[in-house]
Amino acid sequence: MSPTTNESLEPLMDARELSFVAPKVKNETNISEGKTYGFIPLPEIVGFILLLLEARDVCSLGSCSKVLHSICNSDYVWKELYRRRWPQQFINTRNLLESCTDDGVIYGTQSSGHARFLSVHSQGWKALYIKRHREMASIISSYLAFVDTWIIRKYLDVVQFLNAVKYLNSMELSFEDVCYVIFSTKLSVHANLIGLQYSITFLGVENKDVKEAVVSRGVAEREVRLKWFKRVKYFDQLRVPAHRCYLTCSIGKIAMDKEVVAFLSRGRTTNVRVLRIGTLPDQGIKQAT
Amino acid sequence: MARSSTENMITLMSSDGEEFMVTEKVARECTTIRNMLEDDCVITNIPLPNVTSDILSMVIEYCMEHVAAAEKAAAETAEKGSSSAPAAAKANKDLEEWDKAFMNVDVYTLCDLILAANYLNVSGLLDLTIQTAANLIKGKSPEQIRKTFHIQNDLSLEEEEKIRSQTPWAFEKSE
Repeated sequence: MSPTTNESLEPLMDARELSFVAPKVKNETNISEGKTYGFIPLPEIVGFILLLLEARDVCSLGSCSKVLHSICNSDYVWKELYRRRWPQQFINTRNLLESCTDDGVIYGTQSSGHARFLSVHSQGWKALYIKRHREMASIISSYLAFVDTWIIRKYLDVVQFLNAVKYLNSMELSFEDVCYVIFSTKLSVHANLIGLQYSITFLGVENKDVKEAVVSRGVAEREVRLKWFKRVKYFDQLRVPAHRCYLTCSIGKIAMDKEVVAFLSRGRTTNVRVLRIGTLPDQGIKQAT
Repeated sequence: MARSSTENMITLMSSDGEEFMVTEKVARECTTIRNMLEDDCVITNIPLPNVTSDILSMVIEYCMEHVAAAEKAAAETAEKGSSSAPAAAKANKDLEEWDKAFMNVDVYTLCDLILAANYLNVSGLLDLTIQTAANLIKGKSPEQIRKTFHIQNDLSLEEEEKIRSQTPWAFEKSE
């Protein structure tokens, strides 16, 4: 827990600041046929819908109006979002909470980390979710920045690529972690591809879902170029030298293309040598800041 | 089926006084009504002060369709002894298509249907309408959501900025 994490949580708005009273929506725009309410400001409806949405949609909905903001900040919604995104961590956190609080009363001596944890919790599951997201984002981004140092003249060797994919698996990232952190234009296109490869091969996410995610995060149009040598062939006694192959493909296309993903996960084979993943010569890599 | 011949008709009355005659089987799709019937089996006229006639007619339409589909499936199973998987899959698909067409309504009707499905406790219809509403929200920006659902924005620019700054990653889009 770095001090910056704690500090950055300060501006969190307390949901209780905003009254939960449903405002009488003035029908100034005259859109409805004699109805006096908009669709959403009915808390009982939103309560049902929220549980079907992912964190990003809850945030979008929560910034539509005051009453929606207070509904979308509900503890149970974020508890559920936390549970879905980090199931294992959720159990640990909940147990930790139960072990050191008793009906809201904190007892015993705690380390400063413990106290800080509880102070975050007193702001509810949304604060815990945001804190966890920031921690994950910083761990993942720094690892991927490290991976970027393996890139030599815009090309990353497939062995290192697959190592990075395996490493993501050892971190037990969820698909949402990948969507929110790795499918970002701030990271290199290599990083995007590592996230894509991980989602499909380790998490078993459907191709169309991955495609949808890369499109919505704006990385679908980014292109990679695969470069490899095809196996040496022998015709009679004549040795035909290995020949160079290229494939240029956008991230969005690879998301829908099972063959490319399978080709990458096979890595180096007897047929394919020195497989490298790179960017187009004229396309600069936007490095992670 | 001996039951169908002796099946009771039940009258449902909407908030605006319109009466709907339905079979008991259809009415039983609504858990709220089923509970009423089980509490008092001679009841034949049920007032529903929270549901308007146009919404009630849609709810009844939904229940009738689903009861008919269930009956058809049961009849087929009884005829052949065991249900054939492809036929059942096709029937399911047809029903899904019907649901999809049924959900082709404006947001106000959708909202009223959710409330009615919740009040009458029709779990299938509630799931369907809630999912439809969720699909309308998914992947949209706050501005698009407001437009879709006619929501008045009562947040000041600063407040909106503050809310967004809590979770900047949620609003990250392609530039």
